[in-house]
Formats: sequence, structure tokens, C-alpha cells
Amino acid sequence: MIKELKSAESIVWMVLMAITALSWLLGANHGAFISNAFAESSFLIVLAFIKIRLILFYFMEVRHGPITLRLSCEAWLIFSCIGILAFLGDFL
Amino acid sequence: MSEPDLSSFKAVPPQAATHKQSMPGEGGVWIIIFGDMMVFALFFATFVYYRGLDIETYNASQATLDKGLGLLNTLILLTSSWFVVWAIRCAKSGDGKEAAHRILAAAALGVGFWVVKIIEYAAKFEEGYSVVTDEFFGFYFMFTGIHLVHVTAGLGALVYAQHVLRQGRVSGGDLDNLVGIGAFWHMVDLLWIVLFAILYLMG
Repeated sequence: MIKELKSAESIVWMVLMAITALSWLLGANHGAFISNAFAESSFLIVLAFIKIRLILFYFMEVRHGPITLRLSCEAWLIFSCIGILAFLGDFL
Repeated sequence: MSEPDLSSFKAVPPQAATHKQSMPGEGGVWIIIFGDMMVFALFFATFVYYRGLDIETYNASQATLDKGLGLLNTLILLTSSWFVVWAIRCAKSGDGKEAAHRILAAAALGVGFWVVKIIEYAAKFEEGYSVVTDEFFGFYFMFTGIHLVHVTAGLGALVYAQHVLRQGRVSGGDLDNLVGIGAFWHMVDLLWIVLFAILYLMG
């Protein structure tokens, strides 16, 4: 059990839980920490995609996968995140 | 005719030779995963676009959601995913029984997600909100509903994996299937992470 908790994946799980708590804190108290609504929402989206990258690369073992798989995941992350941010900021 | 001298050839363990290049799990599972991820990326973009056209109404409807239940379900899925990672590690070391226990824990958490979601839906219906209340609730019920279908499919796959692991089948195609089922379950988790951010948290 202790050995398991020291593994890279367990540390990733703890980081994921911590980022989730931080996100909830921001979302449940709008404007308390970041006054600009666009900046706050953008930060929440970026945090979500950081979490997803950790899940893809550590939990789903993409980091040990072939280069095509790694690049496909990176492409999805970048295009989805930028796409959402672009609509959020009304840049399109 | 003399025998060829093979002494200069070194045996390369097959696992070491292919480790860096191998797909995690069955390749077909990744086609399903990428298909779902593409569709959900369109869902996310569509929601954020329409939200931008009427941000006040969207924020007013969002304020009625229980962020605490959203947080709880996110933590449940993350922990469930972690149990799956742990199960796969046990299976790779040949311990099917321990792996089965961890898959069972992951599935129990998945059921917990279901229960929390039903409690949340019931509360919303009781308060008079439904899929036709406004655009926000249309998206909310549609996206979380489609996601719940994925949770259900993932739960079925976890029950199957647990059944296989209990028989001690932890190698070859069985292990590939387990890794594939794990990848699908993690995808269910990562899609929820974006849904939680855009439906419950964005202000």
C-alpha cells in the first residue's frame, strides 16, 4: 500500500484531487480570487486540460505509447483547449 | 558446410524491444476513444459558443446547480480511475485476485457516481427544471445524460474485467483487454472533467 502510494500514478492522482479542489474553490466563489470573469473562466479551462493531459499520459499510459498516439493526444488537447478559449473570449 | 556463427547476436527480450512502441491496450479501443473525444470536443465548443450569445441566462441557470455534488462526482471518478491504474499494475505483476479487488472498488465508485447523478437529476426535476427549461438546461441534461450512458457502458466493461481477473487470466489478450477497458474508463473520467468545468464552474 505504502509502496503503491509512492508511485508516479499515485502522485498524479493526488495532484488531480488538489487541482479539482482548487477549481471548485474558484468556481464556487466567482470573482473572489480572479476579478475578471474571462480570466477566471480561462484559468478553469486550462486547469481542466492540465488534468486531462495528466490522465492521458500517466493513467492511460500514452507516455509509453507510439509517437502517433502521443501526437494525436497532444493535438486533441491543444485544439480543444484553444477552441474553447477562442469561443469564450469571442475571438472567432 | 559449416554452421553459421551466431555468437555475435544477442537475444533481445521481446518486451524490451517493443515496450516504447506498443499501444496501451487494443488499438480498436483507441478508435472508440478518439471518436468520443472528437464528438465531446464539438459539444464543449458548441456550449461555450451559445453561452457567449446569452451569458446572463446561462449564468443564472448555472447558479442553480449544486457545485458540491459536481465536485463529489469529480473526486469519485478520479479515485475510481486511480483504482483501475492500480488494478492494471497488479494484473501485470500476475496477481489477478488483487487486480479483481481493485476493479471492484473502481466499479463501486462508478455506481456511486450514478447515484449522485440521479440524486442531482431528481432535485432538479423537483425544482421544476427540465431539458426544455432553457438552452443551458438543454445542454446540461443532454451532455451529462450522454456522459452517463458512457459511465454505464464503462461499468459493464469493469464488471466483465473483474470476472476475467477472478479467473486469474492476466496475460496476452486478456491483459490487453483490461488495459483497453481501463483506457475507456479514464476517458469517461476526462470527459467529465471538462463537463464539470464548463457546466458547473465557469462564471
